[in-house]
Amino acid sequence: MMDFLDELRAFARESADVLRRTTLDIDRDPSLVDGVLGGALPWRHVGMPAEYYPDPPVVQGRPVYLDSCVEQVTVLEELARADAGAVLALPGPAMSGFVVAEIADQRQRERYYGMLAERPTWTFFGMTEPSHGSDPAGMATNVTGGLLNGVKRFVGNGARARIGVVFARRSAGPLGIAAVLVETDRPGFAGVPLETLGLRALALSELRMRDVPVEVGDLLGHHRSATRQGMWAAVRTFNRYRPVVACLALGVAQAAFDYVVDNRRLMRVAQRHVLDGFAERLHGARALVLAAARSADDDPGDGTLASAAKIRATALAEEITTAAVRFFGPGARWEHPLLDKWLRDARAFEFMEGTSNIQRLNLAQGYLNGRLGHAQAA
Amino acid sequence: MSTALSVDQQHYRAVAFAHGAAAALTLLHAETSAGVLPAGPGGHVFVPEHIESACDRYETPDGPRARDGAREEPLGGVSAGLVALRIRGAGPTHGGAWPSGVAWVRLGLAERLLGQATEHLRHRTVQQTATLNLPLVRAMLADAAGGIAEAAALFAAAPGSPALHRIHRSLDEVGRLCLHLFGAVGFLATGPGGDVRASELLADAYTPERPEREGS
Repeated sequence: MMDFLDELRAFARESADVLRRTTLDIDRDPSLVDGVLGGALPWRHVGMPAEYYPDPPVVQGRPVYLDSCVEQVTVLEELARADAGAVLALPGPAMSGFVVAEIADQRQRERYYGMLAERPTWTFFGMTEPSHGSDPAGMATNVTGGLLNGVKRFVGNGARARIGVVFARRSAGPLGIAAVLVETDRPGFAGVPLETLGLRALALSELRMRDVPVEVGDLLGHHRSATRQGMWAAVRTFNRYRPVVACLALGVAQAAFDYVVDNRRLMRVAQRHVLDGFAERLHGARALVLAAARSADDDPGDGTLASAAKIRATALAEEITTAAVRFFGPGARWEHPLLDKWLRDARAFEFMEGTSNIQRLNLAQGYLNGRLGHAQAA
Repeated sequence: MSTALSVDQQHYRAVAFAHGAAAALTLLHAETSAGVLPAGPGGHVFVPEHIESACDRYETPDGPRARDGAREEPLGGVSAGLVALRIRGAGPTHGGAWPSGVAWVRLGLAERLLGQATEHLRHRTVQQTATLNLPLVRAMLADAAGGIAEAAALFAAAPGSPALHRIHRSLDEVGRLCLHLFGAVGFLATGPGGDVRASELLADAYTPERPEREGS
């Protein structure tokens, strides 16, 4: 019998065809996402817990909820080969779901997953700020006197979401960051889409919060110790989501590679060598992404391999999409609009969930702390 | 040629990490090629000196053959206690364990080098800051660690020739990054520079030929 992950990958690859038909239309008009993607894929949700998702697709007799990192990187890479933007535009828990799964109490889980199960619902993860990126030390968004104030930027699906998580400062110090569960229809909350060059389906947005009322029941993890709340959950979410970003980058890279192989039959020897090198690197990056996903599932507190996977997959996506255009001569970015789209999309992964420089700092520290798994353990 | 990346061989990684190339290759040779000089696809042999002098046969695609000095040509410019030969008619046996074993050895060597580079930089300073703590140095260290992580992931996930090629290229990058971390120390023939060269020559000698891509 075929290995489960191989069969899951084959199933996802077959399912992805539907995304290929719409990818350029959605790129031109991201507002088509809702109508075009509704019900198009076998998964209605990505990352919903079993109790809220009674009818997931089944592969080899196993329900596939896409609630593990390994399942996600396997399936989402294949979908991203068709349209990474559409993958990121799928309704469901996405990043905020990791936070809810980690630290929400039962009432908060009901509130969040109940809303998502009711009908396809987008969510958001509000961390990055205009002046401070994702640096918690500089976070200006705050919860004071029951009111949430601040601005979050570069938030995926922010303008179309109904619920999500905003990180905000409650008190000084690293333990003073809270994860706040917020519905977007509260007074004072506004989500404004940003015009982007690539991954346009994602609808990166700015969230503006002015005196948004919040209460204790909105603070995720309020029932837990202070060291197991906001930033603790955020770090674990990044560690789990970076392999996913890496798999999306890998999907875009593979799509551009496949396009060259399929459409450029006559090649010089030097060009074939370039492609051979890319093929090997795709192979290596895929193995590393899977290893990172396994590590994230085993111990979401350790992001060492997640950073390694993101660095290498992101760089590869940028290199392959840039090189792919050059295989087709002058005007290729107009004559081959898919290549142009993938090139624009690939550049997004660099800044998502931490730039490569941030990943390098994580990876170096992880290595120095002996978290990479090395020869002594062999 | 398909070459499986047997996980049974990962003890070569540990020996290479702890004791270096010669010790690991000695163990690999004893367990996979005793009495026979292992050859790469170009007929090259690159082994510790004592193995070269002790073997009375060499590997060919059709099985071991007795050594004949007239077919052998010593090759210079090597280091780390290893010697190189070219033997006319020599070549790897299909499915032999030596090429994948060499890749495991190289992984251990890369980890050994990066560990040495880290220790080297931990004890140097630039304007009273440990060199290891400079962000640009950390970035280079991370890229080297990423190369090791990719090679290790390939061993775990993907048997076969494409994986072996990528493992070697990834470890080549790690070696070069380590040399950058060592600075001028890495340019000396002995020490880390010589070790990187030996590791690169192992890949040069023993990486299986890549199948030709179809098309014109």
